[in-house]
Amino acid sequence: MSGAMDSTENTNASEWVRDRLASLAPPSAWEPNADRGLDHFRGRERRANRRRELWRGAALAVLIACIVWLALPATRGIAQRLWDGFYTKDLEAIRFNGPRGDLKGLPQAEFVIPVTGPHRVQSIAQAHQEAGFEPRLPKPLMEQIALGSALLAVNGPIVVRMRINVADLRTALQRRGIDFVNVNVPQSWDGMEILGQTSPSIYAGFKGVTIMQTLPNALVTPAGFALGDFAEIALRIAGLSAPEAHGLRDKFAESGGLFALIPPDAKYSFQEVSLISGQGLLFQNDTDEDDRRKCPFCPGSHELVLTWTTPDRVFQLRSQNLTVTVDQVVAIANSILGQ
Amino acid sequence: MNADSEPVAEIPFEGVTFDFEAIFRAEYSRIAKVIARVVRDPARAEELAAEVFWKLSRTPKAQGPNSSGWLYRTATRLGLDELRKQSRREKYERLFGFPRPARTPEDLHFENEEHRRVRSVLGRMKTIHAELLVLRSDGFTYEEIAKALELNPASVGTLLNRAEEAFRKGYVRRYGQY
Repeated sequence: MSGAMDSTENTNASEWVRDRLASLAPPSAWEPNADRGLDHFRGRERRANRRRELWRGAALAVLIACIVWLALPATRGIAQRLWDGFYTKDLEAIRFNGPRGDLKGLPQAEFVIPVTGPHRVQSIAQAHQEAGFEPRLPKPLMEQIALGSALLAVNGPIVVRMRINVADLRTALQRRGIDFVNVNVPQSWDGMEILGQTSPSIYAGFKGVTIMQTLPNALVTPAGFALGDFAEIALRIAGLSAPEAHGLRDKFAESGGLFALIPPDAKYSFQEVSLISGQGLLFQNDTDEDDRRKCPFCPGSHELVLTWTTPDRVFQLRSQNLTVTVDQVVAIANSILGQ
Repeated sequence: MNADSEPVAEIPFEGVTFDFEAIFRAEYSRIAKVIARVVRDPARAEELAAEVFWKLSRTPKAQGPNSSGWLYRTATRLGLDELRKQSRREKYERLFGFPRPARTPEDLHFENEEHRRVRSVLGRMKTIHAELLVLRSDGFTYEEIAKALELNPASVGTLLNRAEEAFRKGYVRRYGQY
């Protein structure tokens, strides 16, 4: 008797659930259009192909910048570099010239350890423990984290490696119409490996504003490797003229700066801004285009990205909150404690 | 295929050519409808359906005579992911007091609709339970569900019962009606 009643109840419950689920039926007048779907598909395919090229270019751009930075003794001490987003006290933003395919021949960066996304942590103490350094944040944000109202996350370290192929470098120079007899690419470079490493990073987010920070990053090369020469060659392959490539190197040698390489099709603007800790580089995207995949420091749709350093930290602040102005972004950066 | 249209992709599969466009045209409509059950917006459902096929084109292991099951499983998961993203975004915006665009009369009407409640409950359920309910509500047979979700056909009935019970409890807890 009880079993029969249960069975009836179950049947009623099932019918009740099915009635609710019936409300999900799409509009009867709507019929998906396969031709339109194919257009979406092709668009997706084109975007993916573009992204692959852009990622390759971006990774190389970052590595070129790292190399230039390390090549110059004046910059070694300050260790102000972020491998996935970088700037300097004396920042120079340079657009790539020519098609991205021309970068083919530069060593390809490969991840040595799998890259994982940030995972959420519950407290500043936990972030400190997992990242190995104490996060520096604005006081109000720390209060929100303590209240559980702000997001706090930690990402693991990133290690990339690239192996030099002299023949590829020479071919790339030739493609640029550069006589490699006059631009020396030593055969002894062949097979040499360069390793770049970031520390773990800490992310704190509130009201559409995210602050990311890492320790200064490291680049490891074989002893005696002429990084400056290599950087100048890489810049030539990236499309800079001989005087430009050489001039930039000299300029950075004098000032202790470095530069950011901007993809040629970037539609966002970039400018230097003054912070209490020095100069920062601000990217501002007022378009609907999401450029985040184009390079590590590129802005998403309607996003502000500010990157700057202090003697022992690299910071990046991203704002997707449309009500936050450039002045407010600068004020937030300046309000970080302990810079 | 129209004479002037180009093939979407032809992907080698175990020595034979996988006719991608044929499966696209055969399955696209139903895939989009399954997703539309979850995400409400037909235009977004069509975009996500195209995304499902793009994923198929990038997943050689899924290509072959049994690709339909993979397509429906992926479609349901993409739809549920989208639903959860929408929920999280709305929650986050509410939490931090983001300015929200003015709501249209259609939005206001929608908020009181049964399907909003149903989607809200689905978005909070275990993925497997939500998948079972979405596919079943679209008229999938037990066998089709088993194929799509890689389940033992004999266990589909039991799992569906559990999914319905989980849905009922979630709905009542949230809206207090039964």
